[in-house]
Amino acid sequence: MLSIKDLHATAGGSKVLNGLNLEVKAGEVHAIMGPNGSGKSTLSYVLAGRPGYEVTHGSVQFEGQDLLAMSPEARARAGLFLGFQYPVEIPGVNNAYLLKAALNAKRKQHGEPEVDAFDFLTLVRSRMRLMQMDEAFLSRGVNEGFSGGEKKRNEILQMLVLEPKLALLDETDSGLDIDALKVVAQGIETLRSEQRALVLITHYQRLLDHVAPDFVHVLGRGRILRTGGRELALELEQRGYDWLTGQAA
Amino acid sequence: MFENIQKALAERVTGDAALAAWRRASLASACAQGLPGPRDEAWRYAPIRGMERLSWVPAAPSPPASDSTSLRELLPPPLPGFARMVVVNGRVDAALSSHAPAAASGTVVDSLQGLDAAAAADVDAARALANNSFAILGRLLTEQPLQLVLDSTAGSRVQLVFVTTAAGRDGPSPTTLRMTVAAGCRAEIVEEHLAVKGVAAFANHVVDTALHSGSDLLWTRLLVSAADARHLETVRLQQALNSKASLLQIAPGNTGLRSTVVATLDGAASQLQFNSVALGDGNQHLDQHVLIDHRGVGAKSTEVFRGLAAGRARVAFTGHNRVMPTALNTDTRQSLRSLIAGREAEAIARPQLEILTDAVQASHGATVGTLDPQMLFYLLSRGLEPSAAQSLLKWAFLQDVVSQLRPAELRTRLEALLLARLADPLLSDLAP
Amino acid sequence: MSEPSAIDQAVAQPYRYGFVTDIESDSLPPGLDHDVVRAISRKKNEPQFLTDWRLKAFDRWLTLREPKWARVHHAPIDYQAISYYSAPKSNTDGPKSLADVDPKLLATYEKLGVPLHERARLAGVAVDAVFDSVSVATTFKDRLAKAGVVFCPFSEAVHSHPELLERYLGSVVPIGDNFFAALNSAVFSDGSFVYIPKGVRCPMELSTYFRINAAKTGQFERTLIIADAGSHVSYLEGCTAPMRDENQLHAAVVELIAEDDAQIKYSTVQNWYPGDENGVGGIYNFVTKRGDCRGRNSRISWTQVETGSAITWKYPSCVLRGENSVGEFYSVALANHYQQADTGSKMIHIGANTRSTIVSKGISAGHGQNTYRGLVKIQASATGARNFTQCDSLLMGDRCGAHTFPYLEVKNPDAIVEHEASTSRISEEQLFYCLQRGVDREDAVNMIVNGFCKSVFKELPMEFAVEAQNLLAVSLEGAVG
Repeated sequence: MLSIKDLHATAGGSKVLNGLNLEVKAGEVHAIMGPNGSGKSTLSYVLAGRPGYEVTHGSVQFEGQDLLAMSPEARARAGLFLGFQYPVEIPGVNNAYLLKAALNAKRKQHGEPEVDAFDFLTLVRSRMRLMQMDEAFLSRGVNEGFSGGEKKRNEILQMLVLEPKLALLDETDSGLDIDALKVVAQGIETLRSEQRALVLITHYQRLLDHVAPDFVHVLGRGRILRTGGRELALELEQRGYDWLTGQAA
Repeated sequence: MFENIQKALAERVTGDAALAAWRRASLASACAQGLPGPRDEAWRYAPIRGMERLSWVPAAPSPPASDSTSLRELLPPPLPGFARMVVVNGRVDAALSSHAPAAASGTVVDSLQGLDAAAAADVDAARALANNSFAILGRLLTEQPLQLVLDSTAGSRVQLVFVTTAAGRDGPSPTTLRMTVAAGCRAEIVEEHLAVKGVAAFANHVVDTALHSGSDLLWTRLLVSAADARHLETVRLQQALNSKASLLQIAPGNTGLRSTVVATLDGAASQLQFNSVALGDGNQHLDQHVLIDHRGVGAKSTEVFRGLAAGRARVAFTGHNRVMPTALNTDTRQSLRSLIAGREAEAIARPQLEILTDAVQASHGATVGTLDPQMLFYLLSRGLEPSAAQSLLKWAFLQDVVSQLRPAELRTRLEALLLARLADPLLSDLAP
Repeated sequence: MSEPSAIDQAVAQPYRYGFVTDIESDSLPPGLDHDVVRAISRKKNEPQFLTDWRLKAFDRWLTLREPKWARVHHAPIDYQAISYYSAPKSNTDGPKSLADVDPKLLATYEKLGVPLHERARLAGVAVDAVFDSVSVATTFKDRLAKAGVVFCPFSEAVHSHPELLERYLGSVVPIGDNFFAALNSAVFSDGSFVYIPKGVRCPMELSTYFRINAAKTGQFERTLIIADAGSHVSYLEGCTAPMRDENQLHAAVVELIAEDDAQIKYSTVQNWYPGDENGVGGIYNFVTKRGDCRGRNSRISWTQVETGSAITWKYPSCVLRGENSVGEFYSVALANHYQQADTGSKMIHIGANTRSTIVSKGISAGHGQNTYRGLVKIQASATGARNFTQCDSLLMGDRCGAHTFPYLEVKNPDAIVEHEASTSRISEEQLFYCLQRGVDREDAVNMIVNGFCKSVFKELPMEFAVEAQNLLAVSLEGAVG
């Protein structure tokens, strides 16, 4: 589904990714871990096509397409979803409106008719119940005045409505209390299927207690230093990152 | 200068000696000051070029018949629960107006009397407005000033509609409005300015509003003139003890607009909320200059401006907040934002603070330029078309002000108008 | 409750550097006309192009009027009552080395704490000291010469580098730019000239100390700094002035030119005589400072600490012509007693992806009036331009004023210009908190003021930052009771 080959990228003029390789197949859940500044967020921004992040070398295939040649909105419609670490607030644009516009943009891409108001509300309401969100959120501005936890729930809600093929979740677990973490994890689990893939970018392994990954990768200095199974996450929790990042000098 | 005005005034003989004396004094003061020009800092961005070449005495147009279709089509729908006054070319048109019961609408007086009382205030205003002889001329040349006394504690609701049907080649058509909200009374005023399309109308509008102690005014001003019209106006607002005013201006685009607003918060604990939206396109040139003068203890003001400059438009806003030494514990906040949506458009913001005491809370912020790149990326990453995402963010940008429009019928009407201006099919969903 | 006496005491801090050095002056009589302009040029033995240039500027000046838009008030200045030239008498051709310098003059510098002697060497500072209007001593020339750096009095550059002068003089601030710039162009006496050749990092910080001395002598300094492609330079300017009862006019012009990839950092600590606590005397400081980022990736950074002068009228600016060029302005301005400061910056964005930052901290005390006035102009060509402006005011006492008059003019749809401003005062709560922790009032005020100015001080070279902090403390002693 996703194939990253020898990816080099710069952000704000400095090199952040240095020859990163990653293969993600349908049905898999990958966890990418690493210390601050290892390039985790840069990877997610590069994949989503954020301006200011420049790919200097390498290739990324998504569903057989050259992802890097696509605009951010085309990537989204092709089924790539980025759950932001710090979702931006957009006062004046309400959540329901954005959800509907995004859903219709995707449906249009697939030659489907626009969703009608009733079906849309039914769909959104069911997903909101899952995320234990109050319906009042729908009429509020996108992320406007949301707490950190509410923003993260809102990201997952959007993901559940848009049903992407590949979801990249950038530190979706940070800033969540235990109850919220469970709700978010449950939301993520709902999307897990043979047709989809998940990439969880995280600092700690606690999310992985709830969403078991098939692979765990450790990122350092802009590339993958080690790949393992779930046990690698547990080992990192015990030993920290130094033994790995130091080793890869 | 202004010889034509002197002549014209001499022809308009009135028997009132005091009035004649006031007129002479006003004219003398206008002559002494001359017209402001772009070298005056307060008028730097105003569309006033060539004003000195006008004769300033427009031929008095014959008002069109009240039943004329063009006029009726132009008028906005009546607002439920509002008394309506329609002023055509400076004269109240009784047939188009609907006076509601006195308790609901206050008292309407239209007369030349009481003008002399305003004489001193005029000179004072001219000083406060940095050489604004436009206001003096407007007042001076108005034939039938409209005076509105709002004295209902239950709340007066009045829709005022000013229509200009005449061309403004020789000079602007003057209108004068005086409003008083009596102590402890409440009022809701919707003031709309319209012009017949295709005649290149030009209005010079002067408003004096006094809020007595404990009064409350919700005042919405729609400067929805025709696209080829020019509008020059001077709005004064004086607030007494504990009075509360909310003034909201919407300027969806004239050829030229200069709105000068001077609000004086004289009374202790007086409060003003000023909101404004301006949308410029084509060759439009919209300039607003707002002075909020805090004088009373504990005065409070907030000011929000949202401007959009598309095409080759120039959209300017000056927000001058002054805090006098007497205005201890003043709280003043300001947020000015403008977007540029055209390669040849220009947006100008001047967030000014003049503070003469230390016991004050003052903050202001201004942003001019493009849409927030982070917001834009967020929407794109959710699959929205770039053009749709931009329209959506523009709409959201205006919401800070538009969402405050009251009553709901008015907001619905204005939202439809603004959506048409942003012209994106995606936004049709948002249409009321 | 507050004790007004403490405020008054602090505000009444006498000017520390007030004294007059008794050196005979070689001065022109008061007055200004074509002959005076020619006389100044002749005294300096200038080439014809410069004499003509001065005369042209003088003709321009005659057509201009004093600007009225600043928020400053002063009695009318009689330009014919000013003497436009004064030079300290010394050996006929000027001193060749420090040993030749009038010992009285050196003593003056000692009193001022100017590191001209050993201290200069230790501090690694080259000093082009200006006494009145003529430079009398320059150190470290050899070391600079080795690097190819030219750092000399303006009057010397007229003879040693006429071609650079002819090419660059007035190219940033044209002679008719404004009333005071035109006056300076006509009558400037001396100043500094700096040329950093291609690719050279200036091996030391260049520093000039200015001083006003002879009575009724207008000071018309002219500074020109050219940083050629890829070069770097940091320039320090500091001023003190002796006590005077009479207002003195100061109208300097500073021009900076940065070519491709060049960087100029210009730091000022300005402490001209501010007038006494009743507003009598003090310098009128009308300065035109402008930098031209001509080259791609060039950078010009202005940092100023303005504590002196009765009137400060000064807007160090950057014209950002080169693609990716950067302009910066960091300012602390203090207005105490009856001082009036109207200062700020202009950032003119012309090139694509140009960036600018303005950080202005205004402190008002006593009857002081402090105004920030700034223009950020984004021209249609400046795609991707960015500006961020932060304007903060600190008020001490209820008789002072703090004013902010920014102009944001944007003609490019991809630009972002942001302006933020706040106004605050030192609150009783803050003071009480410090007192309760055992810090006395003066120190508490200093701490708070220094915190307020921190983001500007950190832009100053280290030793200058310390000087600036001390200066601020002295200027503000007791301003809060």
